[in-house]
Amino acid sequence: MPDSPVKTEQPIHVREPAQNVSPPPQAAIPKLREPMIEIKKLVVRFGRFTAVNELSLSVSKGELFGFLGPNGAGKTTTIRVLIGGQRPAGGRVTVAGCRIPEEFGRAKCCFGYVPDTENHMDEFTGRENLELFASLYEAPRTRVDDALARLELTEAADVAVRAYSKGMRRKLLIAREILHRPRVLYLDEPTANLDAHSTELVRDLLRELAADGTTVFLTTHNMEEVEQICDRVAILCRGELIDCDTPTSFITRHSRRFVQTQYECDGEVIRELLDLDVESERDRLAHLIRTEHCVRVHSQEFDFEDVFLKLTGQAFG
Amino acid sequence: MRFFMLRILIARELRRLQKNPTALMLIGLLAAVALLMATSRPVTKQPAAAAPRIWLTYDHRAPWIEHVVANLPKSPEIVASPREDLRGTDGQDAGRSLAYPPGDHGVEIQLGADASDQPVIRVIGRFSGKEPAVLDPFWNWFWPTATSAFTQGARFEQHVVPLHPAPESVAQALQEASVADFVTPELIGAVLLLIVQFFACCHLLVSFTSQDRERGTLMALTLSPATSSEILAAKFVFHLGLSLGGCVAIVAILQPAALLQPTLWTVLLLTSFGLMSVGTCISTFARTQAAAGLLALCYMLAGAVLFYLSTKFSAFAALKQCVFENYSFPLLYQTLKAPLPPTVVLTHLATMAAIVAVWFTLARSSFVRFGWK
Repeated sequence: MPDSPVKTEQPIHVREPAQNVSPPPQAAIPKLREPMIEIKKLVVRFGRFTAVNELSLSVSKGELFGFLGPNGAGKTTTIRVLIGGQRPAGGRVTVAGCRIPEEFGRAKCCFGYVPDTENHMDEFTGRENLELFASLYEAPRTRVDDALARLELTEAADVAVRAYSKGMRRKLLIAREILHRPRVLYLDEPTANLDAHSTELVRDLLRELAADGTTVFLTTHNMEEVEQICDRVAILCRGELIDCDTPTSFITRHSRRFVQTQYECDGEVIRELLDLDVESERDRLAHLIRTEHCVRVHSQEFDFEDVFLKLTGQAFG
Repeated sequence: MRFFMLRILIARELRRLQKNPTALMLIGLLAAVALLMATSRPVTKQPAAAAPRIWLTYDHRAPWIEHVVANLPKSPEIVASPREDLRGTDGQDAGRSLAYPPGDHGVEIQLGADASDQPVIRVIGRFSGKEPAVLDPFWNWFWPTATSAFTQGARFEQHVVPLHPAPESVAQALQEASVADFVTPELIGAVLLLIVQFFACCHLLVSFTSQDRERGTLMALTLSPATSSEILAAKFVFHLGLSLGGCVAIVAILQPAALLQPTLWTVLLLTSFGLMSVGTCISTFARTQAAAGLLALCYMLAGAVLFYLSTKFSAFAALKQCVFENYSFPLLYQTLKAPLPPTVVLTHLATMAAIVAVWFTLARSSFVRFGWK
């Protein structure tokens, strides 16, 4: 796979830190920031199967980076390499200035990892789980209460984790990984199993963390989430990078503008879909509006999910 | 290795045990078995444990017999009594002897006549067990004492025959038999110690570590500032403490004096380390907690099979020399039985330490490289 779509050299568009839920203007304050995650020509193989093939990426400090791809694309494998859990067959990976896996011991204090499956000590209470990790990270105990409050788990803090719902476990996992204020936070589907309120809570938290300078590297299958919170998105398919850009740029570059029209002709109602990027169809729309009895004209919006499907569909051939 | 990190990780293991108290049940049960053994021992073993007595019985009264009875020694303990019912029995026939308490010996003095109808005094020694030499101290005292009472010659015949238990006493013994009668407390103690060590150091470690690994806790801990070596060290300290605690309780109940023996402590430490290393290897390579638990049991059974095969085939006997349990069991048994200075068994301890060191190196490197992945 060529490296051309990888835009690691371009300035990162960092949006305003915000309480604002709506997507920020992508071109807000373009500035160069220090790279926190650098992946160069990463190759991971399992026997003959190549899970990740020559992947190159660069994610900057304070960036909220979305890492997307269909199932089996190599997202989790890439994260496993980033956390030192998988030895790559080739390439170079640097996290917070430390080479992985050579300097894993130094790097691991800089990152937090929220896996896709929860890994708590079930017999411990939520508070005991957090206190253990706070002790290991030598973080002040007050952060335990802060994290519990931030994730709205204070009431259930003294209940054994085995009694938690899936959503609560997920939130506890996120609470655990922000205790030590990591410089890089990896999240594997952080909002899976969360209700709408908790999802919004987590998204707000991620925005805050990014605004405070934490690099957030998340994988998700929720395209709406990507569109809403990510500064940049990389799409991976079959272990190869398809494209990497801001969500808005993705939509701009890959979407096609359609208009759904409905008009009467000889007593019949006819529906017609017109592509505004094609000149003849633009003329046809003008003609319909001028001459026929248009009942309805609707613009059909192209969202990020369509871009994803289009790009991954092309990759699958 | 950071002490505060070790302390946090050991505290975690302790709290985990506190939340799963059933894990301690087996150690408690084994200590209870030891306690039962110790408390039941005086009832069943006291007669045997005391020095065997010699029952001296005679069928007639004579001045020399009275002289002998008047000069009984302090050791061996001899109980003298006349028995008229011995008269006329054949000294060679052990089956017609008196019934003695288990473990005791008997000496019967019978007045008879030889083939030419001359009087003869038969002294028949009846010994328990297999060694007739147990009566030597008696003969050493008896003959000088007896002969010193004679002014004229007399004809004596000495017979020594094994003392077979009477049929009715066998039936009684079977009726009253218990495990404690067939095995020694030292043997049971050594077995209990090995079981406690296997459970605490291998089975429980495998179970806890595999559970940690399966549910991802081990990964979470490894991604924290704690290093793999610190995590492993905390596990070793915790399980070693558990194992030694159980062992000390058992030894204190069965043979408290053995606790002062450096050899016992050395063997306990080496065996625990060996079993923890084996457990670490198992939990590193087994995919699931269930598989790891089964592998731990298989390891124990494989050891038993190896020990059996080594009695039949020389190749297995050679292989047995490479297993540290081959040294730990006999050493534990011996230290419980009698004081055993380390210098006497230095070769055994050194060989055992070398085998354990190999296991430990394998366990540490495999855990650090693959343990959490």
